[in-house]
Amino acid sequence: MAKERAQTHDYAGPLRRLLLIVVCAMLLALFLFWRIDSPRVEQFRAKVVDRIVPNMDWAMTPVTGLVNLARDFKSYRRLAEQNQELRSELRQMQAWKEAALQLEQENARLLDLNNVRLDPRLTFITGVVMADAGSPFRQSVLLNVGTRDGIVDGWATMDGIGLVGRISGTGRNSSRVLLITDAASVIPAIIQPSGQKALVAGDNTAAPVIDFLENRDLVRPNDRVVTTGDGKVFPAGLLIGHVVEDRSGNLRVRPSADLSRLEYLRILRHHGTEAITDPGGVVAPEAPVAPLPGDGAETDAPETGPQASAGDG
Amino acid sequence: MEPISPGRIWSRRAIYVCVALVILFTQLLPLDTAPRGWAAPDMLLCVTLAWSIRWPRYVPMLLVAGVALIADLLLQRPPGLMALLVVIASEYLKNHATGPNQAGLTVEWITVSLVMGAIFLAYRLVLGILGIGQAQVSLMLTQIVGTMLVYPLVAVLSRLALGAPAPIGGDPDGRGGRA
Repeated sequence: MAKERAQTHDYAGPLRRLLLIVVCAMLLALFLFWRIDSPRVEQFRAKVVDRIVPNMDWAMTPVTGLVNLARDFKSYRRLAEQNQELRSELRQMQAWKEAALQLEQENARLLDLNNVRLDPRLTFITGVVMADAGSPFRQSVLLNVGTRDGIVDGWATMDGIGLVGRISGTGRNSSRVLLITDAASVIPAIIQPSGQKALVAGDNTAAPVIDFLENRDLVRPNDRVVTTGDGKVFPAGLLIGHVVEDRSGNLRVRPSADLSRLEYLRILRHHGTEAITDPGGVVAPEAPVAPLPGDGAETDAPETGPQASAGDG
Repeated sequence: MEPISPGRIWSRRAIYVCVALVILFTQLLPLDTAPRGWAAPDMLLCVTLAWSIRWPRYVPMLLVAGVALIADLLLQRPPGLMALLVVIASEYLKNHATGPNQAGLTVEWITVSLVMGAIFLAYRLVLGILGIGQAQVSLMLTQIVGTMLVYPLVAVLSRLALGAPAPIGGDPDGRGGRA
């Protein structure tokens, strides 16, 4: 023992310094490599996360459940006032429900009249949230479904109501959802009813910013913000949220999805929007021309072809 | 005080890894997925620096590097940068700083706070130079200040858990080479 220690004492200084330099150089190299070739390192990261986090799942689920239980328990103390609030909300809800039912019936009638078929290829996979980003500077969650379940990068993720984010990074048993509030998230959107196009860009706050708006004057708070199919990543028409104006006068989106407590998420299978490539031939009565996917109306504006087709979906 | 048995050292190293995993675990719990206006203190950094200055032999450089790299990968940070800064800071504290045996807790606290400030500044600077998007300054500031404030607590708690720190003069490796 004593001998060993004496020996390490002799070598220790230079060896340790060398080791330190080597380790630092390796870490720096990894960082620079990430900066240059981010996708490959991110794939490696997804693999590491895929190995580690699902192993923690057995402990994470009960702990999360317990903490949420404790939080709910705390709110019991405000039970009376909460009851009051709920009652008044319920009254409002009933009014809305009435309106919604009428609208639903009307919608069904109109759909029937138009003989519309909603996209049958738009199905979803449900995943459970296993972990979050773990850092206050990134907004993402980890789901318990991965390439094993056929998840593909870029697919849209929703909770029951609104868009939550998109798949960004898949492992075998896990996939990461980049939330719309993350600073790296930018989504092409259209604001209804004015039809203004804009980008919804996350900035690490609860309400993403509306950017690159064509005409601000046409947009009012409480307008609906839905996705366009532009960029061919998302299907069109998914609800993102409603427009709000913050204190400094910027327009933001208040997400419809409840981002504070994400539990079960739907991942929409998306097989890409079809683009119209040819301008369309002459419609002659007898010649056996192959039928176009749309009808004549779409061939009138060939220059807006892809967008028009995306808007239909 | 000098001869610390290898078994004791390795058990403490294992404890370090466990503490790090528990911290990462709690950070990954999906309790609050909405963005907040403040950031919790970086406990892993705090524990690593406290142990580096007080029990340098329990946190060898390779272990610190490994843990920090795993944290980088799990927490969606740019991989390697924070790990590099933490390793450098930890080695600096092991070799140069005045530990609790030579000065009081206050001096130690100030030293560690300065080192933490340097880490965060360097981190932002490098990310800024390389044009990598980063979080708001206010969010990072709350984290730095929180980490600095929570340091004495971590130091006292680790002292309760690990016993008195080994005297730095009796530390057989490291000091001679660097100074």
